[in-house]
Amino acid sequence: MAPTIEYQLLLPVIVVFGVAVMGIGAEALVVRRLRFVVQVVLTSAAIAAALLFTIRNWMDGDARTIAAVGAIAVDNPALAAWVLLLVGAAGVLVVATERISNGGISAFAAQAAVPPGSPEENTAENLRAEQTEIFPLFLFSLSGMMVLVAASNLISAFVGLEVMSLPLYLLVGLARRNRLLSHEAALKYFLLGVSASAVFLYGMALLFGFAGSFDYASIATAIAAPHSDDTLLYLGTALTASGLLFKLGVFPFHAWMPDVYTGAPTAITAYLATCGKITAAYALLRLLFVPLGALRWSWQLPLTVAAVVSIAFGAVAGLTQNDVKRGLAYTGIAHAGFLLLPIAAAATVHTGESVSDLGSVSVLLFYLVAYLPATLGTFALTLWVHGADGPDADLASWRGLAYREPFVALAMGVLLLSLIGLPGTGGFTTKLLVLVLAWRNGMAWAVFAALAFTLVTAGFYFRVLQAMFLKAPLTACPAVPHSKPMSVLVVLCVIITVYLGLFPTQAGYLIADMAGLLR
Amino acid sequence: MIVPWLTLVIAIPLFGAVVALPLRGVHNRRVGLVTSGLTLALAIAAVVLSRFYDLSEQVLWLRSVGAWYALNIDGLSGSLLLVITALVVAVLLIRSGLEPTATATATATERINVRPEIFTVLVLCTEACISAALLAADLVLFCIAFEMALLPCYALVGCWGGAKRTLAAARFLAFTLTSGFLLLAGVIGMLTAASATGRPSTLLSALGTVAIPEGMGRLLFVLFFLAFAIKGPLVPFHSWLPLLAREAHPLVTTVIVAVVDVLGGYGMIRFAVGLFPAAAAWAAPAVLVLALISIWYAGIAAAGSRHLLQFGVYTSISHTGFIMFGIFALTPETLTGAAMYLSAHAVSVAALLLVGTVIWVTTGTAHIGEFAGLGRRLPVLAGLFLISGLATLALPGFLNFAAELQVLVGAWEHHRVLTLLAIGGTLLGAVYVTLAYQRLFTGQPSPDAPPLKDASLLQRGAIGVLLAATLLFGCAPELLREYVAEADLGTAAIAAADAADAGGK
Repeated sequence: MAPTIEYQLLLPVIVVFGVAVMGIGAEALVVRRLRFVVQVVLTSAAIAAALLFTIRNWMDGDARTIAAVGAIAVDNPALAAWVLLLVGAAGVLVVATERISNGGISAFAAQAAVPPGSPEENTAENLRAEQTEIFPLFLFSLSGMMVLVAASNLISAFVGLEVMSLPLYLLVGLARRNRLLSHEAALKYFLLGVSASAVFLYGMALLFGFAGSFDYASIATAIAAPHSDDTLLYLGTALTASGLLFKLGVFPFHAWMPDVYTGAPTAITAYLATCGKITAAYALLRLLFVPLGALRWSWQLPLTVAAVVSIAFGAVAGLTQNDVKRGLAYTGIAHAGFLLLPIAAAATVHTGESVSDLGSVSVLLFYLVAYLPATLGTFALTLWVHGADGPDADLASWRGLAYREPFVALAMGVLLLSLIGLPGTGGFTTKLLVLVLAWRNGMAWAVFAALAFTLVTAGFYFRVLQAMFLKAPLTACPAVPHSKPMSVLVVLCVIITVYLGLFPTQAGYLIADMAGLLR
Repeated sequence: MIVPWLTLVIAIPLFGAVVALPLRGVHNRRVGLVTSGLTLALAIAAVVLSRFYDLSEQVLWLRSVGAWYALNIDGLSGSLLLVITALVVAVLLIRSGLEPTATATATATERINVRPEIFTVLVLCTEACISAALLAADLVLFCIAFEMALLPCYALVGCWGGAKRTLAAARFLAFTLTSGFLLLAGVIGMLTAASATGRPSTLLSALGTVAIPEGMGRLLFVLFFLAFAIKGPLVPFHSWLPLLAREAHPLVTTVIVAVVDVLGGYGMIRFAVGLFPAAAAWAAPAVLVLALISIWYAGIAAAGSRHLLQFGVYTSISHTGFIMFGIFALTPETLTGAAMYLSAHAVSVAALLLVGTVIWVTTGTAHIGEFAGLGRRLPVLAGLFLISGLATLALPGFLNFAAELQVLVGAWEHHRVLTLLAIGGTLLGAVYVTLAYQRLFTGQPSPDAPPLKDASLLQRGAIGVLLAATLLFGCAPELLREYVAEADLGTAAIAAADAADAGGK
């Protein structure tokens, strides 16, 4: 019997993947002059169409099932994650098409292998040659993310993980400015990333050895059935979870983040910080809740410790950073800790449903909904302010921004306040929910530690705020460029952030309904 | 109510801030004055109306934790609301003619080009946050307003003032943010306790009925206490304030000490004691000792202080100690007295600091040693200084005296020795006020001192009205006492806790 594939439910993934393949074709067939435009149109169309199909499936309340013979769970959390990923990807696309320096050259290298300043480089620049392959690569990575967040067996999870990661290793190395840093970042990310994948793969094998199946549901059944030896199970759990914690950037799997965040082109940093984290958090949630939910007494404590140590490490190490991108990488580690807290709280593991609107799944979703615009907007503005200086510009370029570019400074201020979690922004609302959930599930000590180190994190953010608002600008500061699409993006990010901070009521209702995990 | 009076009290200053933002010069100042005046009028209207109607508002904010946008007004919040809205008007009035700028000591790299008009905007934003905190009838809303007030205050400190103002702003930020996060931790704990009831709600009316285990109650009390002790500030959590007084613009110091720090005492009465009466009784002996240390330490520091504004804030810290003494004596009389003292203190210390502001700006220095014989050169300011000094040291006839007497009489029965020590502390007030007056105003000015312009009519009027108000209420303290005593100051809960305690023995 031929397997049944629910094409309609999987259409969003298929569209993104299909257009990525088309993009490769376009690279070969379209003349260089038109490639950029064609690729941007294709990519935006793919994202828009996928978003449309996802929303249509969402509206159709009956369309919740485990599709493709148990490989992909199209349930409420998966749909919510797809929407987040596609919206985030649309934002990243805007940042990626931004042309920042020297009369409109994109931030991506024309030819990654050519040394900067060489004759070949000059030729490429004079021809205005651009790396348009980034768009298909970006879509491939996105399709991998969409598979990973919805994966309902370990095979599709691993395929998703790899399809997501491989293009990213390339994209990280394509920065036009500070190319050597970018190459270094790519190499580090690649070496650590493939090790993490290998670890995940090893864990998969061990889980298969325990359960005799890759299927999430079958693993859950095998755990529930009487069995004598747990060794394979525990080892497998630890290794698979570690592979995903690496992608999330949780201590002690965080080592790649500062270098990669700094070296990568800012658009790709934004992509890693938003969509990358969304994917890792959702994949981890599904892995730990659906097949391994019965083990929660075993994974809860280690995860809580990892979360708290991440928050502490990110906060303390971030405090001394002078480069904003690097600082955001360290605070990104702290945010990874915050993303891990609702998972570690393990409320309503079996259904995922919210109890009086507060459950791990819905709180994680709410945190990501607030985190996405704040992070995306922050990196977009960083691209503007650092401009042609590239990724190693320090706090000096932020000095007195409020007196040169009041609106840019104000927008950055609001977004940073949200990342700290001060009231009036989405960051406060969601931090409140995460911490209430954690305390309610008996992790009061984690709440105290998280708050104490958030105070330390605020030190980094307030250094940026201080530079922007309370310091006089240096005379040599370059002008901040502007472009319409990015302005719209930033304004949207600010509006969403403030809206979630002041009027979270409706969003709260909506998000509470998006929690039921299918198994 | 069809008109949301309390929301208007919060919204009008915000609206005024938005309108004032693009305006320059005199238009900006006018918008500021009109807005703050309107807010004061609305606050008066709200207080009067609340005697006849129920003005409370309630809209669900976040269902999952049971947080509401809920406002209410009672004697405690109403009296303080009147005080802070009036003080904002006074600050904006005094400011005419004293544009806040970076002082001459700031070097070129530190001088930033902030439009002085932003001052109006920030003060109005601060006013909105503090009003919202006072009117909040929901714990989460209070927490939000309490933390939000940080931002305009941080900007106020950092934008205008001396060479080390960024340091002062950073230290203010560190302490205030810590205070905010301690409060947040307490709120989260409270939410957790409330969620045990099934359908959680953070309305103050609902939180009063939540049963909290003893240990948890003590933990939460300590969190709330520390948050408000930093805000107060109580010694030893005060070290941000003297630096701020030296470095920030004096008007900013006035706003922070007289308007913002009111939340310290208010929160202590309403939340720390109001929600956890049993834990408050448990901690009371330690807190009373801290309060006495505050009274004495800050009093001695004020007597020795050589900086005009620093003198003012040490006075304030000493009085905060007295307010905490009244609160943690934990009797209905002392709590009412402390609530009255809170208003009296805010008004009198604001008058003192405003006089200090005018002297600082007119003479260009705030160092007390450089002022011999100022009385001859600035007779009106000398007089205003003396009167506000006498008000702060609680001379009979001023509201401070009535409040102080209420506290001391109430506390006498329970804590004789401590009360005697507190009385000693208030006598210390007479010492530091007269010492300061002597150093500043008496003696002969040097013959070549240039003539100075005494306080303008506007400045005299603004400070005079504040002093007149403390005198008026000082002569008829019953007006305030009855209004404040109507509020639920947690006295019923304290009595219940006492009864349970006595029953246990």
